[in-house]
Amino acid sequence: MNETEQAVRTALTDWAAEVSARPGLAGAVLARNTRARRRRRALLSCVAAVVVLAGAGALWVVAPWRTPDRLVPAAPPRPADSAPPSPVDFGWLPDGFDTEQLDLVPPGVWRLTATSGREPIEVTISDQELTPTRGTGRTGTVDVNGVTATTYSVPPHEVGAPPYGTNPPDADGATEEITWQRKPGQWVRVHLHFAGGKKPLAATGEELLRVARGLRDTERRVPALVSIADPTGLHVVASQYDEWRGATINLMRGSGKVWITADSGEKDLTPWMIRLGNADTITGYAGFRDVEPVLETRELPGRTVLRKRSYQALWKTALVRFPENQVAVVLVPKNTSDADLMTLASGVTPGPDYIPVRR
Amino acid sequence: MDPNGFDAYVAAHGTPLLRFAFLLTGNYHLAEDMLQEALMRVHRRWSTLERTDAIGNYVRRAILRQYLSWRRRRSSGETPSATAPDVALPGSDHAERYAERDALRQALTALPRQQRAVLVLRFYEDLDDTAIGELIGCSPATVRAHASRGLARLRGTVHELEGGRLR
Repeated sequence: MNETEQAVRTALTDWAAEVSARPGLAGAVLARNTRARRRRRALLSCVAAVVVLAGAGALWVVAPWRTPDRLVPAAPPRPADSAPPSPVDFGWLPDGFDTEQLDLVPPGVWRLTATSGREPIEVTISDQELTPTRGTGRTGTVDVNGVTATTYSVPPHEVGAPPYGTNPPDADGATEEITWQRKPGQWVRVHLHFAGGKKPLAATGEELLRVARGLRDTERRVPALVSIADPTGLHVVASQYDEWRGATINLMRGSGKVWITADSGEKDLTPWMIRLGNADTITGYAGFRDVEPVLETRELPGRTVLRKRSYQALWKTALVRFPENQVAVVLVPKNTSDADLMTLASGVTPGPDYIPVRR
Repeated sequence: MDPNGFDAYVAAHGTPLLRFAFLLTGNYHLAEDMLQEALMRVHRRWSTLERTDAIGNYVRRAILRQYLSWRRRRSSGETPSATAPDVALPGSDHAERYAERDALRQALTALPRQQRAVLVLRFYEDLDDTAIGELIGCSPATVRAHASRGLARLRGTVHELEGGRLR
């Protein structure tokens, strides 16, 4: 065994030794199993309820007693703490792709995903031009509802096998991608990639094309992950959810830049940000650790707001603790007053669509 | 506790499996999450599973499948992850040891998932290439290719550590 292999072996052994036994693991698994069963039952109940309501709604629409000139109330204005809806929604999806999600990703690009448990079909919708991927795969064209789209395709292959190089993602496995300008000011990319070497993708290129052709001009609401009682002129420019990391919300004032450039030249997001997730994983975020002293505490119904010392150059932070071990880290620019930080943080609560992050 | 029961199995094998998942992810909470998910599947099939070492392989395969098929890291672009100054001062023995250990870990963390999985299975689980290939679903030759590339990337870090020229 050479020195590198010995060093790796030692490093792995030392690293693993830092993990101690997890008491109650079996109980946690059983409880999780119970929750999963409940979720499945709840989902089935919801589907049944939706079917019943949809039927009732259809009857109402065609009811003979309804007058044709009935006034339809205008849609309420979008609250400042909600993200703008996606202008496009899925129309057709392959069988099994029944877990859908919508995020608004910086700097203002919607990402619709649908998964069957493995790699997701991702649809990116942008008002800026999306450049088709160029790599070791094959580029072509295809017709999407009368518009010529650019395709990019890497077939399943052994990881790292020629001619797909050694750099991910091409080296790792298959990719199918379709990019086109769907209408003026709207570019769309439908993408599927699986880092599984020779294993085929969860959907075929033909199915991906059918997904692209089936996209509908229907607004889809971005989930309300965080509620902000007093946004003080801020509005949501990005909203993302991850079942492990929780919610990440980026806010902006006016029409300023989403990105800022640090002294090092690296691009950072504008520092108005809220992270909401499990306390055990999130409190290490943004240098928000126990070594940093609490400067101010505010007890509110159902939550505690803590302002802590920040060692960061660009921002200052507050922490909001909620039941179920959930916590929000609120980051604001360094020049924000402490009072404004506490006002913003005090108004932060989990939104109606937020699912508490499990451990 | 039933010696053949699920609880007894978790009590006996939970910690090694948790460590295995932790070495893959580098994150305790993700590791526990993946392990719980894998054990949940085992629990559902407990009555039909053979009480042999195959259960361990079944759990490892379930963990690996989750790890290797994670959706591409969602690029949020968020970067506020810098930490407060550490207690140890740069230049002290403690700080240097910590930095050396940390450099190799960071290099391991930066490896592509397939390469990292292969290295963990080979150097922590002590499995041969055939067994590794069966677990991650590829040929022994591919396993060797992953290991070779992974080690090549780490080699530079190790040499820097030995030369005392940490960067």
